[in-house]
Amino acid sequence: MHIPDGVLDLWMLISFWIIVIIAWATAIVKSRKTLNEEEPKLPLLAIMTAMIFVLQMLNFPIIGGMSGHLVGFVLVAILLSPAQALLSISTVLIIQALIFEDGGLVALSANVFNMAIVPLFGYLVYYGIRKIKDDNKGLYIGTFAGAYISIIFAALICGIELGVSSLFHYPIEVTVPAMLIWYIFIALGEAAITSAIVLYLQRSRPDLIPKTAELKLWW
Amino acid sequence: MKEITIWKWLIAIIVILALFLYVPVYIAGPDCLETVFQAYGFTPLYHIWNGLIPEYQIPWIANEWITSFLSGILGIFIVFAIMYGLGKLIVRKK
Repeated sequence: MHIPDGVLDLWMLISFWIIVIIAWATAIVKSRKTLNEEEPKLPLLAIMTAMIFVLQMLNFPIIGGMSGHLVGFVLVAILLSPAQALLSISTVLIIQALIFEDGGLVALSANVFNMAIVPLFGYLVYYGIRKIKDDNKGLYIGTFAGAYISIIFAALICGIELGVSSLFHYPIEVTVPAMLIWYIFIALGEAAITSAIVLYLQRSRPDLIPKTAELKLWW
Repeated sequence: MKEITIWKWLIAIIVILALFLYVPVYIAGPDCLETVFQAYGFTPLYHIWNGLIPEYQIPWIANEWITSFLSGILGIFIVFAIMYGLGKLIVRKK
C-alpha cells in the first residue's frame, strides 16, 4: 500500500503533511507522560518497530499471483497505545522511503496517513470489543476484527485518494472497488498474523498485553 | 512488567527475517497497489528521490537472498535505533 511519488496531487499531499505533522506533535507530547510512567516499555516500542519493519518487508502471496504485507498498526496499538503505534509505523515508513525507496518521499504524508492514522478505526473496534467482552474471547475477536477492519479502512481511503487525484485518470467508482477487491484478502492476512502474535504473547508474556481496565484509547 | 531482553528479541526478529526470505513466501508477485496501477496502465508521473538501497537490493551484491537479508538487518538496526533514541528523547524532556 506504499504510494510512490507522482500518484497524488500536490494539494492532497500538502494537506496530508499538515494532518500528519499535527498528529506527530500530539503523539510525541502526549506519549511523554505515558513513556515516563512506563519507561520499561520503551525497549518494547523499539523492538516492535523493528519487528514491523521486517514484517512489512516480507510479502505473503494472495490469489492471482499478487502479494500483500502486514501494516502492523493495530498490533503495536494493542501492546502499547495508538499514539505510540503512530510513531512506530511512521518511523518504519520514513526509513523505507528514505533508504529503500519503498513509498514516495513527498507521498510519505499520504502513506503515514493511510497506514498510521486511518487504522486507528481498527483499534477502536478492538477497544470496543474488549470493553464489551472482558475475557480471552474478547481479546481474540477484538484483535482479529480490529486488524481486519484497519486494513479495509486503509484500502478504502487509499482508493478514494486515487480516485480524487487528477494524476490518476479514473474516478472513485473505479478506484475504490479496484483496491477493496484485493484488500479484503490482504486484510485476512493482517488479521491472522496479528492474532497469531497476540495469541503467542498472551501465552508466553501475558504481562505485555494490557488488561481491559488498562486499555489506552489514544496515548 | 518483566524485563524485555532486547538482544534476545532482536535475534528472534533476524531469524524470522532469514527464514522467511529463505522459504519461498517472499517470491510473491507485485503488491496490490502496483497491480492496480498496471491494470489501469498507470505509471507514476514523477520521481524525486532515489533511495540509498532501492527495493532492498544492494547494487553490488547479486545474490537476492543475501542482499535482501543484509538490507533487512540494516533496516532492523536503523529502525530500532531511531525509535529507541526518539523514545529516550521524549522521556528525557519532562
